[in-house]
Amino acid sequence: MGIDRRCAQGVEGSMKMNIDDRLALVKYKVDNRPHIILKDDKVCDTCEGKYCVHVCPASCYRIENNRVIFHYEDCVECGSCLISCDKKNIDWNYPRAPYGVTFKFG
Amino acid sequence: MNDIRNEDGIMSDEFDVIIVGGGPAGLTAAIVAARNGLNTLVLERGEYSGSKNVFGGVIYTNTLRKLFPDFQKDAPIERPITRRRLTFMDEKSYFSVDYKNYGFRDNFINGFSTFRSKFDAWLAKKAEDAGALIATGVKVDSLLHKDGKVSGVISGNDQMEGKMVILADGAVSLLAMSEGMKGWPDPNNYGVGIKEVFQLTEEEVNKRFGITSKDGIEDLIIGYPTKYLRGGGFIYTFRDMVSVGVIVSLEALRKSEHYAIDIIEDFKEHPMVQDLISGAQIKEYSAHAIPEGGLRMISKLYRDNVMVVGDAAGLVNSSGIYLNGVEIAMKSGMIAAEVAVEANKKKDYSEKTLSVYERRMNDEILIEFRNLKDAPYFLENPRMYNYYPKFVNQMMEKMIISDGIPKEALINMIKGKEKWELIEDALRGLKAL
Ligand SMILES: Cc1cc2nc3c(=O)[nH]c(=O)nc-3n(C[C@H](O)[C@H](O)[C@H](O)COP(=O)(O)OP(=O)(O)OC[C@H]3O[C@@H](n4cnc5c(N)ncnc54)[C@H](O)[C@@H]3O)c2cc1C
Ligand code: SF4
Ligand code: SF4
Repeated sequence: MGIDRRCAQGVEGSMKMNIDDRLALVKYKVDNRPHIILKDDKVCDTCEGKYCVHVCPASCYRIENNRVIFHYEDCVECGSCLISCDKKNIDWNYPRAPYGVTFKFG
Repeated sequence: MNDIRNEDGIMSDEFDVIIVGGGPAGLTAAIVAARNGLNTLVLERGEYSGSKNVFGGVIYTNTLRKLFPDFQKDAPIERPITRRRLTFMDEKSYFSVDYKNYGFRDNFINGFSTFRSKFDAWLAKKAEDAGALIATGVKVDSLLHKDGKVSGVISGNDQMEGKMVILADGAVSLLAMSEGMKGWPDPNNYGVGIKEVFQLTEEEVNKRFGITSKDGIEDLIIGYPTKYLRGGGFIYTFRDMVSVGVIVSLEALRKSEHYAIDIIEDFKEHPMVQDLISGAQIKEYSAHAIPEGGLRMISKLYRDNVMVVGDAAGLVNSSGIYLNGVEIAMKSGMIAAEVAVEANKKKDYSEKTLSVYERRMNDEILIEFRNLKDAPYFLENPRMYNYYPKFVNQMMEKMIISDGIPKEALINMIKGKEKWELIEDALRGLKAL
């Protein structure tokens, strides 16, 4: 487990949950093609802030072997990464219908 | 009522108005437009209205009451909000200003708690009853243009023509951006909101919050919940559930050492929150961006044949300590639709006719933002988040532990420079409130 998984760990006697368990509560219909794409890996490699990793509430951006790796499957379509990446390196869209997240409560 | 397609899969005739986004802003616009006889189409990308939407928990009722004077009868109301708290929190203590009004039990003036999956779906049903056509599971990809002007929408291979288009596609309005009505989003003007909902029983909610079934509580909590970053935590009560969440400025968060996924988990562990949710089963985790730049970020509201409403126009009146997005979204949707109805009467959908929308927004909504002009100073002031929550709690602790110590000694706790800042902030704060 690298530094990317800075998520809270499930601890006995604590209500903290790791992000994967939290996301397991969310209903998705996963498209077979991503709705968000990193435009240029090289831009991410030299990006100091790596803001996307900080702001994504679904941990879709993870650092693996010093590289930002993006997984679209768990995306809750919040828009935070698009807004935070000032290198404009994220080609962002909503998933095409009927794919993506469905909230039961919201 | 129109059907989107006839048997041959060809679009039926032109709509008077096409509304992109079936949230509170778009659906309110649809209700007003359809009631006035406009041939109205709403396109919502979610499986049903509300299925993609997230909020903290309370809806204020001014516009809702205008639309439906007896909304209480069938709106999905969880609890009226009768108690409001503003809390300053540090790691081990908190200080609250707690206001309760028993009158709010019946009149819903202070709003009610609900879930978006239920509320938006209810509003969509009302829009259908009014005669609007609602197509769900349709994502609009771009706008259709004719002679350089907006003339409808494009979704996949389908084109739909409309005399007017209302963009109600929420905080990340890709369409307003691609039309040049909104610039590239600035992280200073947005927060990310993250929320978890917990299941209890109605009795347990009452017991833990010290309320009856006729009451509901809103608690906005500053300091510890966001790691002292700009933003705040919130707690709302539902009939037999509780929501706990945080809203953090994206500018503050992205440049901090913190991660969105951790912040809410640490807030949940605070003893105050634990007293409220311990043992409760978590039912959902959700998140959404929230525009919070106030006046500064309001986009171009109209063009020939097109208007922007709600979050898409950046209209949340969120001063960080007071969230009111849905009500303002509904109000802007209502005004835009009224302007559309007038335009339809005149058969003139030009920028000039639609400019009434901006004028009315200025008179009826933006005035509230202007009154809050000092609020951004107050709320963008980092001391509000990283200093006062700790300060207030330390003062309380010292006052209690140190009985006997003269008051001056306490005042002297505040260093010279801070004293002036404190006075300045207090004055500005009073003005802003
Ligand atoms: C965590 C959090 C807590 C909040 N708490 C509160 C609160 O307690 N009270 C309050 O009043 N406000 C609150 N707000 C703000 C409130 O949620 C928004 O202001 C409100 O939802 C705005 O309504 P809207 O109709 O403009 O946009 P939305 O509700 O976002 O609706 C936009 C709709 O458009 C659809 N859409 C988007 N793009 C397309 C497309 N291309 N094609 C088709 N459909 C599309 C979306 O699926 C969505 O249904 C909160 C926000 C957050 C994030
Ligand atoms: S913030 Fe943008 S450029 Fe930087 S790592 Fe993330 S996606 Fe890449
Ligand atoms: S839209 Fe939100 S959930 Fe999806 S990848 Fe971006 S930050 Fe993460």
